[in-house]
Amino acid sequence: MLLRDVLKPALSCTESTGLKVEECVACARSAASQIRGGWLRILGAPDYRAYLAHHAANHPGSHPLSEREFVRTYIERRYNGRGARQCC
Amino acid sequence: MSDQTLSSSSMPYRTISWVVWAGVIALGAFAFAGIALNRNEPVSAAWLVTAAICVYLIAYRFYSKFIANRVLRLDDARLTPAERHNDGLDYVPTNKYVVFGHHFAAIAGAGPLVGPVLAAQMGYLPSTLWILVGVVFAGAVQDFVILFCSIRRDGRSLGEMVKMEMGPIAGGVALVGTLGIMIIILAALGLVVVKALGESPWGTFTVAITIPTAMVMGVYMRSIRPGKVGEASAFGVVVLLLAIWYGQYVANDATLGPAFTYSAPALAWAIIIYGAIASMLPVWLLLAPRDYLSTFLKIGVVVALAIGIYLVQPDLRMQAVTRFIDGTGPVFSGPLFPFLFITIACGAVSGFHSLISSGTTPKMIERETHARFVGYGGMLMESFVAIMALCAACVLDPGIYFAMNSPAAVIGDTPQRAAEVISSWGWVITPETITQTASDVGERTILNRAGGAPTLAVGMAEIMARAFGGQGFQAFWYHFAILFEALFILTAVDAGTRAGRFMIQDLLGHVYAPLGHTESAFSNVVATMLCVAGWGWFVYQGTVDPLGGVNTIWPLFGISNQMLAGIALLLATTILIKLKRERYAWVTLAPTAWLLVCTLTAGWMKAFSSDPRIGFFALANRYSDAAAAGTILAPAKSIGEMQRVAFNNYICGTLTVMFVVLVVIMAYFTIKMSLQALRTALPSAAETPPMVREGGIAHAPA
Repeated sequence: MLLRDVLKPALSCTESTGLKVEECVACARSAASQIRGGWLRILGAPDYRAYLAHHAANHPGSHPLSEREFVRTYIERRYNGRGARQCC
Repeated sequence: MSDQTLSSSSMPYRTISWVVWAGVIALGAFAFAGIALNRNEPVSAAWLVTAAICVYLIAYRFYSKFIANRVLRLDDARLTPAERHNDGLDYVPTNKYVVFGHHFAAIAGAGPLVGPVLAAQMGYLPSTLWILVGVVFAGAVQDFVILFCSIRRDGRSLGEMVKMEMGPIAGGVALVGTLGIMIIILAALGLVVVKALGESPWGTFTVAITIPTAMVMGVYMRSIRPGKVGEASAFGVVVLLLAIWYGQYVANDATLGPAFTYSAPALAWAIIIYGAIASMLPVWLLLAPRDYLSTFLKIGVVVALAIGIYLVQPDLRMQAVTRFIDGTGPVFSGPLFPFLFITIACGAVSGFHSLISSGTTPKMIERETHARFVGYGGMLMESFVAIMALCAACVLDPGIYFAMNSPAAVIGDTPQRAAEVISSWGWVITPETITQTASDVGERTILNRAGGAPTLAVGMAEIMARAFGGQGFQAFWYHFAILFEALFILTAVDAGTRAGRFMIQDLLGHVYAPLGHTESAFSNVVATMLCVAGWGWFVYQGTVDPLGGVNTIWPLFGISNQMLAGIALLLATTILIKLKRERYAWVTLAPTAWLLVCTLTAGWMKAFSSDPRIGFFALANRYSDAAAAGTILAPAKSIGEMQRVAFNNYICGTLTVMFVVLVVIMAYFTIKMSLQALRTALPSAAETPPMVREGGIAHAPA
């Protein structure tokens, strides 16, 4: 099951691309941006692009925070919140 | 992927799966046979790692699936807190592999590295067995079940869940217990750093450099290029590697060398002052950037060490079982039962994880079924780190291992005396070997460096140098390993002091309301100082008390950490019974019972054993009686030192008794709530009412 989970996104990508170069490039781009976002989240670092996407989807019409504001709020919330965040 | 599609999988998939799992089981059995049958010749560490990996795979595939489907009944039709409260900040539905990485980075710290190194004095076999059995039936179960409970309660914390399910008194007890373990843990970690850096200008220099490096990164990510974590981290990693390289020149420099050479008590003060200041600085300046650096290194080192062990395939030179299982070992005293089971905490079962499993992780879970991979799987991964740390300690020459980990009170502080004592135990070693090892890793001495970090660093340096770079790189890898541990210990000291501050404010708020205001600068300073004073006292005493140190504080840490695990598992048991799933309560009840037996026995022995090498009060009485009579007992050198030993041991004994009492109170509340729940006909657990995904059908809660 683990293996199938890992292979699924890759397989679906090859299915849709066929032989078109643009599609391959777009596919690689989206994979790269997914890896970038995932890595930021593992680190617990702010991901402004993901925030913009969330904002556009859930709060259309209102102004999102600027990148500077978002980064500040995110880090403050993450590290100055209550409770344990890091283990022994 | 839902279970529906899995169970209706086509025949070929089933056949392949059957063959693969039969293969894993056979390989695991083969590896264990290899370890068991080669008792008189050295076994390769690769066998140990292989056996462990097979156990993890089998446990994950079968036991965690049973827990997920039968015991907890994970239900993907229910919306998770991340979906219900998605705010793009705290609550974010996240890919399960990413949550796994995040959760693993949060639970893995110095704990799984230190415990197994200390426990190696009893041989690699008992430690391996406890790490494997412990993680499969206790540690991973705890992390998984608590994660599940928190997901079903909007991501609430352990303390809040105890209050909801077991009442306010139990909640208060859990809060005090958590604060106690936090203080002890910070003290133990602080001591590990101090012991590793004492009289080591190379190490002190590289660790000191991390502070300005992190600050430059912080400013860069806040003001120059907001949010550019990759650029800042790349800068940080390069600077750190350069600092390790140039550290050798600093150490040998006529003016800089002495400027970075400090005694252990001086370093204790340094870390106390550091902790107080760092935890009051803005988080973006120091804490966040260094956290990124430490996560990078953590993941890198774990991967590199695993590759290194397979490339080098070093032999385990420690025996499978040493004579120190009788309790006379120098690294920590006390017999195998119960002390092995509290010395190896993280890696087998760690109560602290229940705080992470009910912290940020449940707010990121996208589907309930992912909790199995993240909670159970994440803990298996941490256990794997513990196995590798054990390997690193056991591939060393046992003589070197004991030279590094025995207190000065036992083996003296010269290579000659140490070699004499250790050889008399049956591990023949010459003073030259000890001096040579120290100079190989670029240090003046390796004696009495208890605490795991240096031992692990020498073992790692040996493995890494043979895999990457050759003997000339041993000193580099040694200091890399020291830096790597110091980095996340300093982060833990900073973050832990902040968390401890909130707990103290919570408690103080009940006494005098204004002290509970987390926005008040006065209250923040008071609570921070109290927290720092709490752990700082233990760190300082650990460096000046002739009998103190990691060897004294680690059992206390183990008892308190396992006690917290006991509390978490008691909560889990209460919740299972309240859900009317008493049929499966053994899943959490069995590990709870084992942990309670271990912690209560160990607590009782540490406090009241008449053997002064084990019992805190016995040792305290011995020294205070002798001091009153005017005689001086070695290794103390004055009446003042005698009184210090006595006082410290009274404090440690009192704390141990307090932990034991807390556990007993929690057990009482569990029994009370469980009996109540058994008498009611309907489930009474306080889960958040389910919201069902569009198109999904939630299963009945019974």
